[in-house]
Amino acid sequence: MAQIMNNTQKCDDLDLGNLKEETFDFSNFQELRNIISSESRSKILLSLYLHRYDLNNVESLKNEVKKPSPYILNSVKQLEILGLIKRANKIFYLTSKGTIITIIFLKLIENIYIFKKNDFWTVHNLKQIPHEFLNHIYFLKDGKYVCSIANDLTIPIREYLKLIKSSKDLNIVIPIFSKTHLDEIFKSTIESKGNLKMVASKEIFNLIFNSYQEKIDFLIKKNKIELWMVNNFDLEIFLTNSSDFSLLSLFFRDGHYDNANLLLDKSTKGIEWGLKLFNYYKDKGTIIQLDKVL
Amino acid sequence: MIGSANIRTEDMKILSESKLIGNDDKDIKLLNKFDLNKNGNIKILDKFDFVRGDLKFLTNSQIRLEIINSIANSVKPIRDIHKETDLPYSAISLNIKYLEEKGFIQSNHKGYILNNLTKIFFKEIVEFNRSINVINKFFDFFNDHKFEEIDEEFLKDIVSLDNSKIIESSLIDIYKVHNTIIDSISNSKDIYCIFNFIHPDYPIIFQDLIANSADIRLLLSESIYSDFKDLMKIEIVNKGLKDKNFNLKRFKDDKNIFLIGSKEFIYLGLFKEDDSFDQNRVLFSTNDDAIKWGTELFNKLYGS
Repeated sequence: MAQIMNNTQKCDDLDLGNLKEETFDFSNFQELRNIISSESRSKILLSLYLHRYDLNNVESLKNEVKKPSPYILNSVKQLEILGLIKRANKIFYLTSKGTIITIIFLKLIENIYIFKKNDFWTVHNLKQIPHEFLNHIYFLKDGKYVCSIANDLTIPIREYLKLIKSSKDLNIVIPIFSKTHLDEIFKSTIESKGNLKMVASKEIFNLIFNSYQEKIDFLIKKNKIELWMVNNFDLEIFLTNSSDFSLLSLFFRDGHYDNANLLLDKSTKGIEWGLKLFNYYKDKGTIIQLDKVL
Repeated sequence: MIGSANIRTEDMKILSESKLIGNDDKDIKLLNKFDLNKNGNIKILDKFDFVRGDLKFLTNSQIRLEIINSIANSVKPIRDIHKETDLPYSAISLNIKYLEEKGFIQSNHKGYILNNLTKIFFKEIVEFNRSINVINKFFDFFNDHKFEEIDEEFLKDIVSLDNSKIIESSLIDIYKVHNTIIDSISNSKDIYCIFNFIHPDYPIIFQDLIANSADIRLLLSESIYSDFKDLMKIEIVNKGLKDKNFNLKRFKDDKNIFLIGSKEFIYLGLFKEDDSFDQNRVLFSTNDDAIKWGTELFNKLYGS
């Protein structure tokens, strides 16, 4: 536990806006407690939703929930009283209310599970992931964490370069100047039929323009590049999104970029999450008039 | 140069170990079991087992919830928590001890504060509770109605409808729902709509809106598509289609949902279990979250 506290002591800086519920009635939590406090009630609801196209009786629920029949029957009765399930001919169904509550319960479980499962979310600064995106973190439930290991520190960057190489359109929020990354980003965009959209700070763009002027000129002429500059804050999130994947890497809480850990998601939902987050940053920036740069 | 610049062995070590807040040994065993699952497809019931202890611990005690809420925004000593919540000192001390032992809160010389994950957990729990309240508030609207057109993803965000209200017909105003909607859309500059029934007022109003260059997207069921179009003047329809301020799509399978929205409002209507549209009540909102929710739902249905 001491180690855990050392870890968490550094992470009290997440700003989720006004988190405090000024007029919240905590006695109002009874309905939530009725569900969460009982393992079998919770699992019966989840099972009935997951198997909603099947016929669910006591026996099938017993197998799923792994509790004896009397437990199941007792929980089922309580859920009926709560108006969350109904029965007909010994088959159990979720009511309309039970269905919606179970769906939001699924979201709660998926979100908490993701944050709890991997320290990726505790060791990094999450300040630049707006609450709306943290609240939809379950979109990344199929994501994989790509990490360096002691005898191979290059695993994340090799994975990154491999993915960039095979991508077409790229949407990137880039907080660092790294020739290793940028060489491949420009090379891939020039060689592919796709476009490059990039958000960065003024300082990073100055460095990029100094080093890649020729390549940028080429992309401008081909109408393959759009750039947005954020002025009033330092970016501390590295997001790369394409039609095939979303890649996220973050900063440690001490302000250093972590190039040893990536979150890679190739699912439709993960890609959608990444694209929305890219658009969020794009909308915060100002588009650079590239015809004036040329 | 690759991968060498900013690697911090201390942080790499942190990430490579299983250190999780609120854990007990059982949780860690479960995590290892999951990690060994090569399919990467972990059952939701196993995920629930993994988070159940935390959820139960945080929500089971009203005292703990009040303490968490009290220190949600800023660090506070026990004295200030007591002043704010009026909870007995002994109950606060005991629960602070439990929360700290399980790693949900941390302390410094100024008092106690939530750690990052607890902030996220608390926000999620509050949203879950608020979602339940939304369902209760609109119980008659959802109960015994079909909502399969509303994708699971949108139902997960049902809290967005929190500030909505129900417009209902009454004995002295049986057309209240219809008339309210007509009033709202008559002067709209942009509007989207899903219909699978016809009321003769709608084609006329949409025809006028098209003529006034409003941006309109209509999604009509196959069964009413031709009749709906025939009730509008063909030259206005064609001009709208040509000018691209009028977009019209049809869907083959009946969509049991009624949705009208703009940048200012949304109306959502549901169908009853017998597949008839419930003309007596619609949900209405001018709240930004609800408008965003409705627009994204329409875009999803319109695009599919």
